Amino acid sequence: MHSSTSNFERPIPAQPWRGIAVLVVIVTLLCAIAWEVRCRTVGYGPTLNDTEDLWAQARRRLKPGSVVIIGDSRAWFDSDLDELERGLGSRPVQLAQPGSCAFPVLEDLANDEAFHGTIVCSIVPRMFFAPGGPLVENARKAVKRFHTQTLAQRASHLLAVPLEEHVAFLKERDLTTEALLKELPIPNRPGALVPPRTPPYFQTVDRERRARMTASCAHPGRLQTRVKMGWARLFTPRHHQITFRGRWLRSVPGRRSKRVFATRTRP
Amino acid sequence: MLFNSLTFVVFFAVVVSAYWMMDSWRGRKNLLLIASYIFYGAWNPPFAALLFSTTALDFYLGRRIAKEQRPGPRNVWLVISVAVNLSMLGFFKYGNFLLENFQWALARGGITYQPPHLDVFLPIGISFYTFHSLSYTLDIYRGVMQPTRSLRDFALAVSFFPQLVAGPIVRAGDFLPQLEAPPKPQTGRFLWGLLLMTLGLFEKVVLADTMLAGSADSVFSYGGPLVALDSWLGVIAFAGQIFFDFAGYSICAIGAALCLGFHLKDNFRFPYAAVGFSDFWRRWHISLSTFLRDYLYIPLGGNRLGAARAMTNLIVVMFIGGLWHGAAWTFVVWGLLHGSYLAIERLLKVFTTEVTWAEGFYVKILIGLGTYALVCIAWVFFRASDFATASRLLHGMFGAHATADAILSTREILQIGIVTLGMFIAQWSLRETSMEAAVARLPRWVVTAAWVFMAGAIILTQGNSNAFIYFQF
Repeated sequence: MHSSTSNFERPIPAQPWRGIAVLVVIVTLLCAIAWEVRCRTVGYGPTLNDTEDLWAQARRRLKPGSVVIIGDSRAWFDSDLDELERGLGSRPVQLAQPGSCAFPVLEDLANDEAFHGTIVCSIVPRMFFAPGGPLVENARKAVKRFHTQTLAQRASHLLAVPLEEHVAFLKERDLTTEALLKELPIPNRPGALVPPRTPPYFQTVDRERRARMTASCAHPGRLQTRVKMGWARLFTPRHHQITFRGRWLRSVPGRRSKRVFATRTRP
Repeated sequence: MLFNSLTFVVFFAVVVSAYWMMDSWRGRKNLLLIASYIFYGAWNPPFAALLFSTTALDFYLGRRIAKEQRPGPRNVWLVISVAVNLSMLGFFKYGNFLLENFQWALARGGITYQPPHLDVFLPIGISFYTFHSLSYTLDIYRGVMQPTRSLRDFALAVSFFPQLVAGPIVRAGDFLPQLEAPPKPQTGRFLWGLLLMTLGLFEKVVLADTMLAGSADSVFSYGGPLVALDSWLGVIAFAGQIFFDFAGYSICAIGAALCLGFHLKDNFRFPYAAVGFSDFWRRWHISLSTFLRDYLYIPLGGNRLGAARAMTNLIVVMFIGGLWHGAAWTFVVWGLLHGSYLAIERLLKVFTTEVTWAEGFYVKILIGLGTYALVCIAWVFFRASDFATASRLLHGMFGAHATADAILSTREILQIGIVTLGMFIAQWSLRETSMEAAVARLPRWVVTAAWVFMAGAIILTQGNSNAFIYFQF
């Protein structure tokens, strides 16, 4: 028999809880639907979030002889997996991450004794040789998630994928409370070292981590101008590099041997 | 498994549905036990075995302590229980810390020693479940409770999933009696539990992670000198973040337990409306402070052996409390600061017993703000990764840098200001009452609107599933 040392019971506030709960469910659902309609009206559509879990899922697809793309946003946006598959004979795995240093991923692949495939690495010197900071951390976090992902994290990711594929307002990058607050036009103190605002939504991501530019951004207009201007402070236009990469992609189909390609772009 | 994850939403829905559909009380308890081990094992399955071994050992030792009449052997069984539990905690949590300090001490003596780095994972929530389990043998030894005959019941008391990994530290004596008879289903209790879970998630996901965490992280990770405004705001942001993070988890745990018909005690009672430090510790992480009071402070002599001994005891207890939070000297300094605050307060009380003006409302507010400011200074050591960071930030807070940077945007400053002001207003207006009493007085439309607002904000803030800060302790 237990010796009861406590007969504690929490008080329950007297309220018509059943009616309140029904109303809460209905109003919350209506608000969510209204927000979804609003998001779609301004051009957003369902897309996966490029999370560490999605990266880990892609990393798990890696076979010993796979072709793998690593690097920064250039490799992420500019690699057409269908085209590469036609040329290379096998479908590459997309592991490039926007705004990241490829080195931690390269290191991880080099340490993977089972892997003997081909690595296509996009190198922007200031990113690849970054001594530390967010550029390196982004990549390290993804690698760490791959090695330490728990069953619960995997399950959450599996549940999130179908939801994100159908609900537009789940776009983490632009439509969460934090992202919306960042959009408020509030001037900063003179001299404050505040990072510049990054431009909004311009890509969708699928289960293979393929990034595709949305139609509203691919065509000239307000969003495209905003995106261009947003990045102008950090990067110069790269028209000549796009040409270079185009030439390089055309030369790939004829090759059979495994090699590492490094694409050099100027900051 | 995090409360703020989709896995938990599905897990909880399945467990609650199955639980209330079952007629058998034994079946329900078995279900909760299995669910709790799945909840824990979803993080790292092998550590579920560690959890069970701690539980089984304390179950056995509890029976031996209760059966033994002679003081000597009783002491031996208790020492074994305490030693095994604390050794496990020590190995996983403090192993590398001890080795590093041993290496440092040898180096001071001119001996070069390179210890092997113990590549061990810290089992999540080990500090919490060790205390859950330890409270059982300690209470049997103290004669406060009798041992349970059921290993299943005790295992459920230790591993009950709402409070397993980040508290509150529910003592076996508070939980086991609730396993004697099945709770009857009550709609009001269940829905109030859901509302508490919504409130807890709102505090965690919206207030802690979205409104405050970014600013606190920016300030504490900034490598250069900061202006006073940014330094203070970063620390105030962290003070709010850790409160909403941890209190949010505790409220979720209380709510989840209520949905299953169990009652857990409050772990926070409006701590930033505390007037003085003893008041603060009656309101902050109550389950830990009462644990340390009952099992450490009172056995050390408490305040029975004079003012000087009481002050020493307070500092010793808070030193251990600091170390409990993490294997780093910064946590020790945090604990020692609080110990010193408590000791000085005790000393001041000796000289101000006749003072009546301190009871005035405005004086209380002033003392409360002073308490908050000193608590914030202590948080610097709690949050800083090393003493250099803490020192740089403290210099910044008191304007000691000749040239310094401002790094917070106006938006972040407004977020910190609005959330902190709202927190103060809420805590000061509720400090003499309880949330339940306040909610009972509210019109139903206010309750509905508040619930909708919180649920909507959580949905809008989705995807931000950061781990709770106290998971690492």
